[in-house]
Amino acid sequence: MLGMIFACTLLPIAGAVLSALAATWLRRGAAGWRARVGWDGALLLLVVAISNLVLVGWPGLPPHDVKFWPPFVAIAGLPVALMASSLGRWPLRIGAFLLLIGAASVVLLVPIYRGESAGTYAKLLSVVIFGWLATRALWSLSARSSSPGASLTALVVVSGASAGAMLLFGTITYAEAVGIIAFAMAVLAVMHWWGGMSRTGGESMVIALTILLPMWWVLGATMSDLPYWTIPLFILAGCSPWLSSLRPFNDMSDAKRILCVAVLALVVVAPALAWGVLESIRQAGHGGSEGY
Amino acid sequence: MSLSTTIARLLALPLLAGGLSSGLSASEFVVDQDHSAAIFEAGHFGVSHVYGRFPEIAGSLKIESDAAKDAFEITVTAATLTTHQEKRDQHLKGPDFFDVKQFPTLSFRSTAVTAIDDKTLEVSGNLTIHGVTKAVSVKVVKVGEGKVMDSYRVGYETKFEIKRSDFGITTVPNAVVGDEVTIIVAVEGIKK
Repeated sequence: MLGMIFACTLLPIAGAVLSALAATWLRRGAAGWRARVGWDGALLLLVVAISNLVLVGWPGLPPHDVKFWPPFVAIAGLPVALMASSLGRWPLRIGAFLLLIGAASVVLLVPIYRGESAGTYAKLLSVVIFGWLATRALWSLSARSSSPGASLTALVVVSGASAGAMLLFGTITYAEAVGIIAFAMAVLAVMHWWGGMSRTGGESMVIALTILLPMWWVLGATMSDLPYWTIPLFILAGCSPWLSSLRPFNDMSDAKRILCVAVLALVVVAPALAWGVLESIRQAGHGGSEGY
Repeated sequence: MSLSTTIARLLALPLLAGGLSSGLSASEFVVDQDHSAAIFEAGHFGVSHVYGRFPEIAGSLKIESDAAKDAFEITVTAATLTTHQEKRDQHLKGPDFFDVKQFPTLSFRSTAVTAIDDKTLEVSGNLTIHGVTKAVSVKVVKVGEGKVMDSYRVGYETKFEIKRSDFGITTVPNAVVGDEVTIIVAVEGIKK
């Protein structure tokens, strides 16, 4: 029953919000709105949420399996991404983000720490929320210091590497979910490069991705076998656009600068992927089997 | 049906046996892990079967003179799963299959028991796998009973089939790992 209520209310509400924003945008016809409303990040969240629900099926609510939560968190994150640029004052924007990731952390961590003491749970929750906020701060600062193209490129690499790591460390379910994010990012990157959509890859995109990816990192590390040490590498790789703001890269063309950012991001995540390949080979080494 | 059904049958057998055997009337038994097993068989690319086992089993069998009053409860620790292949075991324990960190146990709790004959019970109950609970009904066969060393023991077995998709285990395509999974549960109970 609860699931039906969600199905009948949540998506129409999300659709209504998007429609209202689009109508306002068209009515005012001002370029400023296109700059201020974080439509690209919201679009990413919506596409990823719907794709996830199609992939894993519509769950009962509350979901019995923690992997069903990320699509709902993504939908709840739509307004956070939409007001990413300059809609609302910064305390409101940060507060909304904090509220969202706080709630997400609670629902993602409850199953694995059921039965633990309140103190242990509080410590873990603090670490996750701090890491989540730090990721947003670092990626936002990095994106502001460079071009949207460089930022988008780094985030495509981080998303793809995260999906690859999930697969290498043995969880197809999570790899598919992160793969959807990476695919959507790649599509937006192509739109950016070929369509001249200069706003794509800005603050809204960064916020959308800092809502989506950490959820799967948390699940990968707690529910599966993704090593904890790989998560800082993913976060650092997302900061690689900052490199393009340094003096040696100032004289480079945009294309060369973006290439450098992509290579740097790949180098940063390489240890995680290499370790995953080595582990996979080691575990599959029994009798030459493929593991099944 | 599935594992739950098997477990239900195992649980139901003592009840039936209790009704038919003076040695088991109105008795409670605890599952002896060392002489019990939960085994599953799943298809591998439609070519062969892979067998796995959950070594850690616990539970109780309550047997009354009236089989309808019997009760069976069995819990299997998911993380103890083994197929004797490390990578496969790791995958089976992960979110693509049993998701043992989120769903640490598989369990069966009987809701109704009916004696079919002097060796067989029809046990209905709730089977929980991967956090999904389904009502199942399985046939449980009594293997035997008697005094062993210093304790009185009974043994039951059941074999049934489930669809893993019914329990939300759907990530890996059926062409790779068959949807139908055969489950064998064999328990030995020690009288309290």
